[in-house]
Amino acid sequence: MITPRSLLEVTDLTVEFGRRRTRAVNAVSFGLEPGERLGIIGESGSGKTVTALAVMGLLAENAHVTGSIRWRGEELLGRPERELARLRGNAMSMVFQEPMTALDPTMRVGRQVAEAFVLHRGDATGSARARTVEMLDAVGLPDAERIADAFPHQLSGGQRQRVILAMALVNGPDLVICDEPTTALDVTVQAKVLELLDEVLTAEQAACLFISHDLAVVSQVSRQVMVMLDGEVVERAPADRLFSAPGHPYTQGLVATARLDLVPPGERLPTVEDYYTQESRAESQARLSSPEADAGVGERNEEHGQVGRS
Amino acid sequence: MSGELLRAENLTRVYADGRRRVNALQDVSLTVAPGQRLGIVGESGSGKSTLIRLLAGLDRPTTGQVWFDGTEVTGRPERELGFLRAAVQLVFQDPWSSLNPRMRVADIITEPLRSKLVRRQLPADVDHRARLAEVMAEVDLPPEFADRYPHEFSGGQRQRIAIARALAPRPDVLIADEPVSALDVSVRAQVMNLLNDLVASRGLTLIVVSHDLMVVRHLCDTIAVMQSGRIVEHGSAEQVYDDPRTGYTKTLLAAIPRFAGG
Repeated sequence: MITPRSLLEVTDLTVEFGRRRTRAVNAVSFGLEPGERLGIIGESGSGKTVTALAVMGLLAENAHVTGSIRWRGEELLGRPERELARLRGNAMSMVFQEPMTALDPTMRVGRQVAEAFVLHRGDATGSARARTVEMLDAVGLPDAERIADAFPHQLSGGQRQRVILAMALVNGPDLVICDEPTTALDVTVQAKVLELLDEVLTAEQAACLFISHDLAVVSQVSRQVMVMLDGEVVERAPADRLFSAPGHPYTQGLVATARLDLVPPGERLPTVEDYYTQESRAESQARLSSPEADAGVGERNEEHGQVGRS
Repeated sequence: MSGELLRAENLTRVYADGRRRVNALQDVSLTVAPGQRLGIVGESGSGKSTLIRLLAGLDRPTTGQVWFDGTEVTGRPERELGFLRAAVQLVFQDPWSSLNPRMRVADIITEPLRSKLVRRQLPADVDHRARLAEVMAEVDLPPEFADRYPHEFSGGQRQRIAIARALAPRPDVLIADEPVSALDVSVRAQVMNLLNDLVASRGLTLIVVSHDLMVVRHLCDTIAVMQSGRIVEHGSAEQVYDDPRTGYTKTLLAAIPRFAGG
């Protein structure tokens, strides 16, 4: 399964929280090649963000993680925090949804971008400022010198999200994880940020895990899409096929309900339940918590993989 | 007044923000006919929320007038606004913060019926329990939910609770401010179907504010596009969507994320 070229190989990732071991992610497996872009869709609580945080090694201490997360063939699970911190923000970085909370309000944005650089590269050559301005310029911020000296509150939402992007890209990472990066933005700003993201990912040849609840947005960024439901991957397929011929009934429902453009105004919109009833969802969840759950999960994924491929 | 339920004339709203003055609304006029479904779209800061606050009498314009069913709203003290409070109900974006977490669903939904201002507008013999059962059925909430608290419900269910509360005093106008933006795609369609059904079955006048042109196109027959405190385009939903007249509307339409290759 693990090819030597794989950038990231996640196998049977299971994440449980707290003493009651509430399962948020269940036996999730996926791989990512260098430069590949994988979209993750699913409703809130489906495990998208927890999966991303597990890869970044950013889960809270009450998280119990099993399975395997390999980065360029090397296991990340169980590695000391010190070593993970060296990877984070350097080889892999993350862009969060809310640009106002992801930035320190008391610090000029240029310094925040530079900090990410200096932390990993040092500033012996005094190149941090130049690199910062270069990155702010690369993410399409006009007058990057002036923006670098601004505080977050002096910038618009779109500008702040570009700063976050600059921070994530400043060290030329191999993987950028984007968690709903444009959800808080206006549509016209969103369109520009998405275009920019595409440009910089291409220029840097960085791989991307792109999480969003907006299927159309995911279809624009990702070549591959993975669908999560109740902590599991129910389907993975190339984006064009997943959206034109979804395999799993839940995916069929998600795609149908997202296509507002295909329903004449005022007419009844298709819902997920039209394709995948609450009963069948409850059934498959019950199967999960049964003693033979592990075997069942393997079968299920295989089965849907075939449906997706046909 | 010929077929006119709401009228706004030359509304201006200036907010003083420290030394800065922000013109949130500049010379906005519009009318809404009974049974009309008006969508107001625009980006953040365009003035769409300010406009509906003025239409609902929740805020007062700096200049300009608002009439409801021939009665002027502007300039009246709150105690005289009972007619408006009963007839115009609102549903907000975030069903996590718009429902009081300490109240049971039954009390949340019947709260408008207990309001002093609204009560005087309703028949004296309104049976709260009966009305509660009616509106809960209308929004497809099982009766046993009545004794529970908001935190026990999903986003879609909470939005149904908020809609049930809005329907309780039998309003003429329902104003929904981004009613589905905080919801998962998987439940968005259900809430939109519910709104469509309710508007049709009760002959409600609907005003929907949204940043999402697709949502507004689906729910409304008329669209007003706002930018920087002004209405820059106003027409039938079909015209605005299929044949936009202003550059800004075209920009908004072009920015809607579309399925790549779909």
